[in-house]
Amino acid sequence: MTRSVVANQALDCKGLACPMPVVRTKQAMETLKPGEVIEVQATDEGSLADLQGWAKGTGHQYLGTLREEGVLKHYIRKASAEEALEEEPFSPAIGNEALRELLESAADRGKLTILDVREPAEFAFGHIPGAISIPFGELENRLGELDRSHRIYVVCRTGRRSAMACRMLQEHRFSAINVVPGMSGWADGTRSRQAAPMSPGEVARAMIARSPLFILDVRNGDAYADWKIEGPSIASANVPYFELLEGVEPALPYLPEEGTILVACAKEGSSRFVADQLAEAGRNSVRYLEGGMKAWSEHLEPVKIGDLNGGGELYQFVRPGKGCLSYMIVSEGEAAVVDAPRMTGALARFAEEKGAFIRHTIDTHLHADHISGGRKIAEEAGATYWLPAKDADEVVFSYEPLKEGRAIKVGRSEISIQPIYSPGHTIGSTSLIVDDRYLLSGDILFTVSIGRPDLAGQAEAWSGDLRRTLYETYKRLPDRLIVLPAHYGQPEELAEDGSVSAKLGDLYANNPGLNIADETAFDNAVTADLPPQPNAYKQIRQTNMGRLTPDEEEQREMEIGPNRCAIHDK
Amino acid sequence: MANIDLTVDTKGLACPMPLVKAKRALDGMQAGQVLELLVTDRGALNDFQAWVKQSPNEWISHEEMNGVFRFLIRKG
Repeated sequence: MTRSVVANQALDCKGLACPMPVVRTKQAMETLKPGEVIEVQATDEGSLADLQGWAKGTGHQYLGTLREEGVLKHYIRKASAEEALEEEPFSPAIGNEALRELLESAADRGKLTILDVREPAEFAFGHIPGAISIPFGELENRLGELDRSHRIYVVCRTGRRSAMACRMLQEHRFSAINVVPGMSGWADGTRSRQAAPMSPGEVARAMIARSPLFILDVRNGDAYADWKIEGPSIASANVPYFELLEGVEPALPYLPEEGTILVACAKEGSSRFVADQLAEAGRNSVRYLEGGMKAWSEHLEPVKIGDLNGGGELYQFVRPGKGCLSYMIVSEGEAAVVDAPRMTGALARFAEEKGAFIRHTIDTHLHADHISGGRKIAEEAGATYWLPAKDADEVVFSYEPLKEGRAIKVGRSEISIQPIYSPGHTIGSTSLIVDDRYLLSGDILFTVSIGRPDLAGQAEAWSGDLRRTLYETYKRLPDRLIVLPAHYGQPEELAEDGSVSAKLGDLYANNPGLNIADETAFDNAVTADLPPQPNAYKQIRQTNMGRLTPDEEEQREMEIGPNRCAIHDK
Repeated sequence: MANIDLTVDTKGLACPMPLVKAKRALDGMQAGQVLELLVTDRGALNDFQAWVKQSPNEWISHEEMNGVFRFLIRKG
């Protein structure tokens, strides 16, 4: 049965943290007549105990709380003039400074308790050393945990929730003192030590610069085994956060004695929890990964590849969490984007900073390892979306066919993008020669490996195409072309400036995939004993055809895990 | 169908709080009793299963309905 309560006024406090729901309710109450009911909608879990306590202290009648889809609806009836109590600050109270002095004079320490009545999560992210945590909502049932012989200094964020807790303690004959204002005014120097964040960009730059970094990955073991942050200067260990909730000791044997320790988890919360504990345990240079592996998987690091004819520029976007490479060609206020990731905002902002309008988005093939942002950018920017027709049999949207012989121009001085039909990874795969100097090879040719032909289930049929592309079509191209692939396999492939590229001539000399003389041996190499397919590659292809429309969270999950587009990516 | 001895609602809470709360709840339970957990954090399922595996507790079942996960764990 659906319960419904009729209220005279609804007050939206969703998203507000303590003390705002109480402050707003108090203001709104003044406009109500005695006997009328207010519905306060809040998402802060602490608002329940706060409003109950506040109503009790002011004489208003707390009626109850309904919970609907994560929103708490509190109902309170306004008191008549006779019922209303004057809300007074709780006394005795003590200022933050006085409390700090008290704590520093060790003589008194044994006879006092610091009681923190904020929510556990607030407590977890910083508290006065030695404080005990009992959320206000649980206090009445947990009074037994408090020592009656102690003076109890009650702390919350602003002094309001703690004042209500003090009244409750006083009613139960405890000696309670309110700390004002509490944690909101607790100076950093004496607050429990907190770890600082490290952004995915900082991690990427450390990886590129080969700066030593130790990562304590606190995700569960399967997640770590499947996919982690790696690099020539990066070492890591895995201790799941649930083994560290009661103390960080299990992780200590793994940690190096010196240098920065980065704690990483899936979304940030647990890494921050663990990093703060390490910092509190006296460990220096502890950071946590901002936004977690989720943010890492989406980070794009732009690197300039070179200048183009007539003042144009070519940029590579390295996605270190995924091994994907995208490109932007900028010339005279226009831009073309090649093999765009789904994080279209970052590319749109970059174009804007360059003062360029995105006119073209191009996918060299129908991707199977990441969700393309090409169509979305094109829609948002009013640009043309290009896709090889042979990869687009099943797509449900309109596109411009990317085709050999049909050059694409960027800017007035005409930076030319010349498509070259180069099947093998997919039947439509088309490479791009930019400004007669760069070969954007898509997933056909990488700097240390070659593409795989099996991601659309046609390995045998396509391996001949792949061989012809690599051993005939590409072979006819000038050796001086700089190859810019859509992927890389190992962080070692990143140059000192963070870019991934190689001269075509050098690849013919050094890339093992270009040096398999025997045709049968080649067929074998690209069809047998391949690394596992990328995570969710079938669904990713369906999404890139427009036949599946996962939400952002689902897209993120589909892309999780290592990139495996080359035949040697094991 | 297992009899549920205690329900802990962690809806809306992000990692690590669902696990912190579950651990605290199990600490206060008797061996053989069943804890029901309500969780909305999507990453929690793998984490909880991994955690239960290396603990004396037993994973009974899980289900999802309208974005809310329901885990049943027997205290070991």
